Amino acid sequence: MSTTPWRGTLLFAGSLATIAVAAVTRFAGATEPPQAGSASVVGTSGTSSGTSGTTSGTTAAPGASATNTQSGAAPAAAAPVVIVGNTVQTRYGPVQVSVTFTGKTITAVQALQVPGGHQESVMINNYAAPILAQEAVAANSAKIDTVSGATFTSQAYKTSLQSAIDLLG
Amino acid sequence: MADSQTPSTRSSGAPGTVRGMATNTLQRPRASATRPAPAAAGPDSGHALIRVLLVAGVLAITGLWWVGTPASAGSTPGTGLLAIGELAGLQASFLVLAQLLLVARVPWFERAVGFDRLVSWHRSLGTTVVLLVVGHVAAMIGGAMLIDHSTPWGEVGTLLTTTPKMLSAIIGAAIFLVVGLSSARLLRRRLSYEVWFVIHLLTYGGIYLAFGHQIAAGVHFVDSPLARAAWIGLYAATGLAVVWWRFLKPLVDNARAGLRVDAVRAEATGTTSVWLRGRDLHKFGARGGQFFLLRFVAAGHLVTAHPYSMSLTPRGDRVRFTIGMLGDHSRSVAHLAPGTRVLVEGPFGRFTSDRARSPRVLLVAGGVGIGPVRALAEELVAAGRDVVVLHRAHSIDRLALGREFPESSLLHYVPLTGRRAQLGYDPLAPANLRSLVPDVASRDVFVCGPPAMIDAVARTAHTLGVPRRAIHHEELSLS
Repeated sequence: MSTTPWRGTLLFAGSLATIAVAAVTRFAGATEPPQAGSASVVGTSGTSSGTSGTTSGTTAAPGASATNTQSGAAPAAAAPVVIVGNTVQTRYGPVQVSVTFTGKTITAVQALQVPGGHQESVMINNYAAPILAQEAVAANSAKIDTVSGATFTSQAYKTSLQSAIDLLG
Repeated sequence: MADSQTPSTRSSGAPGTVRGMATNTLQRPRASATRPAPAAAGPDSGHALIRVLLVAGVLAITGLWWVGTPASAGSTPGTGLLAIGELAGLQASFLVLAQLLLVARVPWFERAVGFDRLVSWHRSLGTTVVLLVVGHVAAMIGGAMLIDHSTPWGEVGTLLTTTPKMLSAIIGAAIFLVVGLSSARLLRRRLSYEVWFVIHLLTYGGIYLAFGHQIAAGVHFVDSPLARAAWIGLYAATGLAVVWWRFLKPLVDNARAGLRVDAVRAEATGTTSVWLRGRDLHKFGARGGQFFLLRFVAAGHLVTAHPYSMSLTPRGDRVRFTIGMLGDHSRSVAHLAPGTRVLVEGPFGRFTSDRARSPRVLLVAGGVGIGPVRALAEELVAAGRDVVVLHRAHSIDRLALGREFPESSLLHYVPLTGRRAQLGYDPLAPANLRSLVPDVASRDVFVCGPPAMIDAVARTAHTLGVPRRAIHHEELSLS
């Protein structure tokens, strides 16, 4: 009555079969997401469409998929304009920024969404978000350095920021 | 029967003798009583229930994954691979907990399945878990690589800096791999029990280290307080079961009993009995055929516990274990000084008289397997069962405890000595067994001895018409 040889391996094969069946049925019907040019982001979990309510699925032009909530009737030369960037999914949750432009200059960046499901993320992102905002204002572009320890958030932040800049036109 | 499975019983040696073959008078009337039907809740219902629970658990975990995984995860190879890796990781963690529970000495499992089968299942699940952990790590790194377009080593660096508790998780996975490899047949044979055991203890550390990243970084737990609470609850419940039944309960038992070696007696060539003395031994509820894990508090013994069967169940303040001098450890038992403290865990095992449904029972003992058979025979005879004992040994001087089976209307003891090579036949071959015990088909058959003998006797008994559920055997191995 010694251990049945290969039973463990057979059980593993069973587990693999379960995983395969679960994956195939779960992923069935998933199509290539309509990825809008700049919204395809290194480090996202590929859920940039379909799950996020704030991302418009009806894309007209690359980079124009952001919800545009311009304050003010028209972008006047001196009046500050707030543009909300794309929601970008990371492995730990969505990232979305709103950018305040005065003319073509970035004067402020506000993080609307950062991954915050648990303490670690909250700590990392509370630390990373202000640094990223300062960098964006200083660089006046999305060409900013990644904050170490928050790589995914940084990359998604840059992408959301870039989408807002693109929207300003 | 403890330790009896490891050494070979087939070495050449002293001339053997056949005895009892012609002299026995076991020609008894054909059983008139038919074999009683098995009870509704047969001994196998526990097995079935545990299998169902395992499968249900895996499906529930898969359901949790399903809910937390968007269909779009399958839209790119990288994210799909990550999602699959997550599921592999979830299943691995669940099965690790199941493994822990199976060997946590939970009384219900011990009664329903039995120690030996629990250990065997634990071992099989171990293979599955290690392969799943390897698959999980490979899929997580591979998936991230595809997404980031980076190298594996670069991706490991990225994961370490961006994912909480990743370093400890990687160490945990490495521990699982080491434990798994040390338990693999090829390597296990080359390791001493003690080394293997210490490596195995690392598993607790591995589980602890891996738990952190599940809660801190597992996408299915980070955003769902309910799932997180259930997951932590699962770990906590398993942890409590292990702490209570594997550590605290034995401590309580030992503090109460305060067992010490009372005497050590040589029984026969290669066989020694150890008498222990303690308080309130009846509170263990030990039955004939069961075994304890014994740990002698003496140099060279303390590191590990060994499974030894009782050859006399507790009477008064004494209990006797009969041990075959087979391994390094069991040989040194002969030199234990009276008064040595003994820590015990148990009793374990389902090699007990309540398994017998028929009023007639055949007990087959190989070598030192006579110990539990001795205790079992006493209980069966006391219950009014008709008992035949076949005692197989290489030579007469190895027939331990033979004098403790007094011939009576209910008890027939037949020693079968001699090596097969010298006898030119196998005394336990179907034809011989049938002539020794003509009514074997109507009996419950209990076998205790080396694994090869157990297998052979179980096959023979089945050939002679004994149903499988009436054939009882147990193997002691902790690894």
